[in-house]
Amino acid sequence: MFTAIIADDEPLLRANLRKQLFQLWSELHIIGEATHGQEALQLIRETSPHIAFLDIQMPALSGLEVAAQVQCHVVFITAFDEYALQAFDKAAIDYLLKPVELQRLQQTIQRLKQRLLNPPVDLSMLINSLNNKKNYLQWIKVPQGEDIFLLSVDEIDYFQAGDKYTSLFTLNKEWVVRTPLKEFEEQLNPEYFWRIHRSTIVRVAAISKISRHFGGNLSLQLYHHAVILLVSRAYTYLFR
Amino acid sequence: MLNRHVLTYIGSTFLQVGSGNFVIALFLTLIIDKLPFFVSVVYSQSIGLSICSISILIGLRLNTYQTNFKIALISIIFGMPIGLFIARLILGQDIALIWQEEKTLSISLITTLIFAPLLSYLFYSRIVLLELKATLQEEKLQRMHQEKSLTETQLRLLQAQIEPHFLFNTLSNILSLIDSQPTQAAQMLQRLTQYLRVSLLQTRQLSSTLAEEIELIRNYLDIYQLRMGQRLTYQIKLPEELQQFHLPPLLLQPLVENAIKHGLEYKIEGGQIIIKIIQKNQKVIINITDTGIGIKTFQSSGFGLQNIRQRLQSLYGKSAQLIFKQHPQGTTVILELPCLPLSLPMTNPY
Repeated sequence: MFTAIIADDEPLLRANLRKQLFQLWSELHIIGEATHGQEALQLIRETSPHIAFLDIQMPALSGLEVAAQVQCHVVFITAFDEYALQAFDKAAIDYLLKPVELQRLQQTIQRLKQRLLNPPVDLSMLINSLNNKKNYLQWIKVPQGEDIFLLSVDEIDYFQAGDKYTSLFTLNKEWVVRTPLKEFEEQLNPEYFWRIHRSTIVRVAAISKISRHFGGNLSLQLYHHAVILLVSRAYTYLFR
Repeated sequence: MLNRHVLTYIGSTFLQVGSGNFVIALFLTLIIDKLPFFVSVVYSQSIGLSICSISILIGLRLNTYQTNFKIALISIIFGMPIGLFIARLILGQDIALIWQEEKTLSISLITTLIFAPLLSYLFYSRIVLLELKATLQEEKLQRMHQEKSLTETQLRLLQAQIEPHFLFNTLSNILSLIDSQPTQAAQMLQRLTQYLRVSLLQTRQLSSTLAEEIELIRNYLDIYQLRMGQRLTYQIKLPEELQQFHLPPLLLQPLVENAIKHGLEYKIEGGQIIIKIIQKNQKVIINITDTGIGIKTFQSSGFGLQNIRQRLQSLYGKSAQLIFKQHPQGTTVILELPCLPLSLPMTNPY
């Protein structure tokens, strides 16, 4: 007899899948349910089921992160994950779309029965490649007195390095942080943020005008700011 | 500078001036005794075409088709002597003798002074008409562009509004309730219908009220509450006098969605959302607090927030603010809007 677990943070959806599975494959024994990723991982490790039905979007750990760490046959469940689904199709990995249709579930069960004759495939490679998309800095924490403000990088027009601090300029304000400019340069998406000077990073979309001066020097003007930013010679290639 | 259009323009001007000159020549031959038609044609063509050439040259130099009074005057002053000179050259008459032929001089002068301004005016009005047509077409084109980008924004707003995860998860919840708990299924379906209806209406509006926005949010949060069970609670405080406060549509929902997505959905034990709206110092301040896990610095801020910022900036300039604050229990979003009546532009507000 085969065993399975179900992991989904929405109680109604867990119950429904259990009901549907019972309808189509009554011999399958559901030995446990998990309400989030961490719990799912623990449950799988403790009970070693043959099959794990894993929702992709879950608190604590995503279904993908759980699958990368376990050895069992996995069926992913998702409402909508374009990129993951493409990868699953390519690698012939089973998945169910929410709302789960009985017909589709029937097909999945047929395939599972075949698969159970062989040992489970190791999914960690595929999942790591899915998760491997480089993440760029999106939010910057700025402590001020007792508060910690969160600035979205989209609202910062330019970064200016000072002696010990870095100033971030938004539409209305100047914010000061201790993070060195170099660290920002490494973490920001280079498509949208350009280092133009030893002490300046600018958001490309904030540039309103580029002026060429006698001798080939460049300077930039920004929307909403009166400042004129100089471009070092080393960075003029960005504007060619 | 000399593209096909300019060349066509110059060609047609010369043709028309040329035919005008023939009419003048005919007129002069008829009223003046013993003036051979041939001589009259040479004179009128030389003078007319000289004036015309000068005005076109000035136009090209100034990069304009428009013949204004100054250009016409300069063209006449310089064009007439040059034309006289050319005419006498063609007819083989002694140029120096012109000062003795008072008749020729005065006829040329008078005809030029009568006809040149007349012809100039004719051209001027024709060009003004043409330019008017061009402007109208350009305006039409611009309007079409604006309409297109407005539709695009509406579509993107709507897409953000009916986020696929939200929609499909809600639908599967409804499906799983339908057999066992039909009353609850109906309740959730009603909420979803209401939410979609208000969203659709709002995307087409240029302005909305706080009451409408809050209704949308209530529907949205109710759906989440039915889905997440005990994991989500919420509170909304909207004072009576601010119910009819006008603001751009769908401004608050993305902020609440953000609070759920990045704050509560990933938190195992769930949490609370508190929305508090107050009026202070000519500003309406909207506080949205969640008790979630907080925003991670590498997590995407999404289309919703970016779009809100753009809209705030184009509608309120620097007088509106969107601030995110982190506190030990979670995150607070503070949206400050000026109390001024929202004067919406007729064109694309986004």
